[in-house]
Amino acid sequence: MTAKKKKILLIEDDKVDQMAFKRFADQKDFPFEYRICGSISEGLEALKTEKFDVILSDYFLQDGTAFDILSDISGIPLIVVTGTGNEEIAVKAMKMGAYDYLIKDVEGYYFKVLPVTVGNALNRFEAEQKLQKYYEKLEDEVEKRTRKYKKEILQRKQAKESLKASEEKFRTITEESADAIFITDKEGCYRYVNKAACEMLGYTYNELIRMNIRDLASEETAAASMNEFGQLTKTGRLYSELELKKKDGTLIPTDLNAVVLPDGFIYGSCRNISDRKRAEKQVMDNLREKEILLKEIHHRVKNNLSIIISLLNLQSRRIKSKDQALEAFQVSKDRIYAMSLVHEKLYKAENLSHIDMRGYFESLSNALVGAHSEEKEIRFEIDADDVFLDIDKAIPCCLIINELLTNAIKHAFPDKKTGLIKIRFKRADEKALILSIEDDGIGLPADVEIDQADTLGLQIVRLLTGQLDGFFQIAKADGACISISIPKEANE
Amino acid sequence: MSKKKILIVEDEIIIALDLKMRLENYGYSVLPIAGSARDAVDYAESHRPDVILMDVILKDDETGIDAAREIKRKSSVLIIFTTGNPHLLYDDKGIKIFSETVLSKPCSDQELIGAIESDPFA
Repeated sequence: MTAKKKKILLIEDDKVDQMAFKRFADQKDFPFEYRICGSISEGLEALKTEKFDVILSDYFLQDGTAFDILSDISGIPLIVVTGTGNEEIAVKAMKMGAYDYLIKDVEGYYFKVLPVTVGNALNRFEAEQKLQKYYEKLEDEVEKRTRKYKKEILQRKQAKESLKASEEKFRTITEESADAIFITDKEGCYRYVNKAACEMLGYTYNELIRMNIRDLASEETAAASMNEFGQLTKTGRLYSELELKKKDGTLIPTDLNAVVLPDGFIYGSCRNISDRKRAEKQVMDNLREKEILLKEIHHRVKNNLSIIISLLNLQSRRIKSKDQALEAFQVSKDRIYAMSLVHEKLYKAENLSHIDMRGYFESLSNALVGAHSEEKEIRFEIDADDVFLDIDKAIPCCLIINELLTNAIKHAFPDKKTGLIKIRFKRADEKALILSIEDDGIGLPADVEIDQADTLGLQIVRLLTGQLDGFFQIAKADGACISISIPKEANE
Repeated sequence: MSKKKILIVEDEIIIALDLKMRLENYGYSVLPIAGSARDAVDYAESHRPDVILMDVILKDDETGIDAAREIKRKSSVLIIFTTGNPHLLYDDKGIKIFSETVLSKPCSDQELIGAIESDPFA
């Protein structure tokens, strides 16, 4: 396929010159197509509708000069044609941006150079176009690269800044941590320690940084801690409770968490757990105390249940009639209640040796009034010191008082509607407590001797008084008064 | 069969009284009650009982075990431990410290009589 012929626009108002061109261009080996316009305006019109590769324009035209179209031809190569003697115009045209010039000679030789001139202009134009494209591409490339580098530079700058910020952040966290933080080399020599580490160990930064972990072990723990250090370098991680020696020589229990870093150094964080250890010990002590207490209580409960069974056995022996059977239930119930009240007070007491006796008397007398005084109005008057008894003494004491009170309620006021019973529990002196029950009733029969009493109630009073190493005194006239002296222990 | 003399070692006087009356009901002769380890050792020597019913936890620091150890040094009297806490008679490994019969409190008449009448040397 032959390349499409390039097209020339000739602007020429001289008819003769037009004819001459035509004649030349119509020869069969003329390598271009052409169109002829007779004026600038006609030429510009043609440019709007047709595509031309090169413009040949006479300089002087009736509606202007060839320069007038320069701005409208959008890069199409312009060759200015002038007459002989107008060489300055040719020079001017070249300066203005024309590609080349032709000088009309009368003989018309200039046609002979026309194809070459046009060809050259076209070649140059193409070369320039190519160069322009190449240049544009280069510019583009440079700009693209520049953008890329700028972006990379910015990214690097940002990365550096955020690295710096993060480094600062972690430095602050490490430095201000409440846990002691340190880094040692592979030999255990400190390379970094934070403030908390210095405070915990009592050394300055400059002292610690010249020390080895070995220097902080106590004589007792040195072997163990070096062993753990060996484990750490093998396994890469260590959790341990470790005792460290402060500068002043005191030992502090710590909780250590260490890891081997990628560079072989060791990072560790360490916390003083003295408080925790103290609390643990406290809890263990409390637990042990409670265990002992629980065992004691088991023992007492079982013992008291045995006493109840014995009381029931003893009471049941005396039953000869239905009425006595009912009576036996009632007195047994009272005794068991008297004992259960001790346990109620015990529940509120701090320990087994701290039963509040005054509180006990109040509770017991209230309960007895409720149980026995349907037909009588009996008042109690309690006058007791703040006495706290051990459960071993409280139980016999309470059984005694229960017997004496029920006895008084039942027998002291046979004809009266009202009665007064006074309970007194006092420290007589350094060595004894005096418990006395006094009523304003008929008094005890003259023949009653508590020592030989055959009622179980009085027998219980006698035996339990003996168990407490105490002794009685009885006043029989003007109401009854029984007082019991109980040896007192130093702590009661 | 002659009337056996029995020594009750018990710091709870009510429990002791109950035991005494039950034993007397079966025809045994009951010696004065010993409320402490010290009394137990003294009465064992002075009254020469045939059987001792020995409580383990007593008032004061000495236990029935201490008293039994001392009594056995001098006599071959039959000792029966009566306790609400039988574990006290076993060591840490659960092995019984003594060869004596142990009665868990409270006990029935049958258990009581059975223990008294068992002859460890038969």
